[in-house]
Amino acid sequence: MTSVIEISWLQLSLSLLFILIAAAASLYYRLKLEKDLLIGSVRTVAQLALVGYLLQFIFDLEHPLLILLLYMWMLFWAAHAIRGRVEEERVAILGPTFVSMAVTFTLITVMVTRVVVQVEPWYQPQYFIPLGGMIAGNAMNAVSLSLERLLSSLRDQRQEVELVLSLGGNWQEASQRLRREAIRAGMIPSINAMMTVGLVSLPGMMSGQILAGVDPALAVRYQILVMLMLVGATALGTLIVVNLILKRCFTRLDQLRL
Amino acid sequence: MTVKLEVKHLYKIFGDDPSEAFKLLEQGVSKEEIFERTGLTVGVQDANLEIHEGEIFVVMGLSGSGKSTLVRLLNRLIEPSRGQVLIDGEDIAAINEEALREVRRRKISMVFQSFALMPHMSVLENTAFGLEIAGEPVAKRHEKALSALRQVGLEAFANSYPDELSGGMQQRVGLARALANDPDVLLMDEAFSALDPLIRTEMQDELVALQNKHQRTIVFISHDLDEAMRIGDRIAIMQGGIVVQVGTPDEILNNPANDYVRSFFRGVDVSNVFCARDIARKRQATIIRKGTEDGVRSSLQLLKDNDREYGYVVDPQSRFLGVVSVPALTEALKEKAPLEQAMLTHVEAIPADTAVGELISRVAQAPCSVPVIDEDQKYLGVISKAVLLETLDREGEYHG
Repeated sequence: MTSVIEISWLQLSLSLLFILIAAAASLYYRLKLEKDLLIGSVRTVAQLALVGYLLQFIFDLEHPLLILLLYMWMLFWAAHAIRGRVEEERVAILGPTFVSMAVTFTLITVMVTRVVVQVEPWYQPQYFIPLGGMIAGNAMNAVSLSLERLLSSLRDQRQEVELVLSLGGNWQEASQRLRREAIRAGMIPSINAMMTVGLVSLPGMMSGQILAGVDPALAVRYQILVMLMLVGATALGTLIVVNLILKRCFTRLDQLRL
Repeated sequence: MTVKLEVKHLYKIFGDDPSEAFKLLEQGVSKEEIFERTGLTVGVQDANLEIHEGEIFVVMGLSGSGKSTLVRLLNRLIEPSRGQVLIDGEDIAAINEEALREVRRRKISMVFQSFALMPHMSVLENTAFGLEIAGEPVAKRHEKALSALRQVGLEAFANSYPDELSGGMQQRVGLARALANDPDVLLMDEAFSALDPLIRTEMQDELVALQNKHQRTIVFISHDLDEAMRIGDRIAIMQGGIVVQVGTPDEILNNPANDYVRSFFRGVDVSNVFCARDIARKRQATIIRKGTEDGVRSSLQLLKDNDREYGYVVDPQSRFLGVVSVPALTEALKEKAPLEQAMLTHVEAIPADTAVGELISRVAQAPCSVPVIDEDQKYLGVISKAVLLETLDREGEYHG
């Protein structure tokens, strides 16, 4: 088995060339993306460097509470990003999203480390943080997709919702169809990913493991685990978040808040 | 005459804490300034109405005047900030959720501009939908739904699906659905505004005829003066959240309360009060440009079938693309050219918020009716020379 080739910071600086290509395109076509590119590059380097040190620090600590705390921190930023994307003023997004993601994703990650991979102890950060992180990243997209769909369809199809309410139906009856579509919108990408994985794309995690010198057959088994885990996590995540937020879109008197 | 529905000092203020807005309203601060200072929107301000049993009461105003908010306060789809809504003396604004649900099921029904039919349900099931929610057994609700469909002349279509019906028929289903619950009060929110003008007039006549047979209390929201005059026993005119005048059509016509009301009737101000959006009509033939085919032959056929000279081309998202004419299409067909080549280059679309006064020369010089588009390039309809003249000459229409 081959070991990984070291990249020094000096070598890494060569990859700034890639950013320069993008910046040149931006300047030439007046895309006005230079500023975002600059900020994005700086943030990428800074955030990842910080995470690198933080991870090293946490790996050394090996205390379950600290690991969980770190995971909560990641999920908080995921929930924060979701709120930013959804841009809803009348209904609180951050709190319910964070709480439901914290509960479901911790549960799923523990199931994966403890029951499937059988890591000893279950919170060993080398496994817990990357697996949990993948769930957080994917589910963030799924949850924001389904919330965006939910809130925009509540607005676009307002009259349909109001119709059911005006006939004396409750909020569940009024939003049944929209809820179903919102949950579907969140789940479909991870299901589609299962269809094309290996044919169209090589997943990043698997590629990473192979780059790091892991036996491809083992890397593949990990990837399968990840794919299945993500489908379950996005399903459970969107389901719970959509239900929690949907309820908050209506008043006790079956009035649409939006 | 018995009062069926009474509105007393009704307010709706949108925003988290309306108390600030109430304070400012008491000091006589304007709605616009309240919004600037507090971010709160005054939707309806101190509305007082007495609606009699058996009358068609039209609430009229331009968009943003608060009429849609007002109608939703009547069945409490929107929570009143202050005031009372009395149906048969019972204050809807004060009852609990169970009682409110019961009122919505038995006493008050609503018809929507967009029809709001469920596409996966048959006409009969759509009509029976309210009864289903109310928990009526199948046999009984189908019987009532059929009888409601009979009232609107659609009994034969009970087993069809909404997408098999024309717009007018779909809204009849919407009406039948509201009637099936046998409500005392019918709220109609721009119910005929989505229909084309001929069907619209027909539906108005039918509503009046239906009203002569079964006396219900109807609150009809409209932005269209002609509609209000045609069907209204009485009309309330709203401006900026305030009911500025209530009266019979004749009373309002002969004694308008202010310039805004007058502008609905008289030519003087109309050119500033209305913008292109308000007078655009979807009477013209529209052609939907789909990506794949060339579309020239089918467009030509469509214009010939509808006996039109010009067609208005939109994409599937109803964004406006251009105007084609029969000669240009015939030419394109000969040359086997795509639809784009048949588009008239000198007809430009007018932005929706252009004041009517600024339209005159553009509409006068264009060979065909001029298309109107909104900020998103969406096609809103056309303005013909006749419609523009009619708008500018309101006075002549009603006083001459």
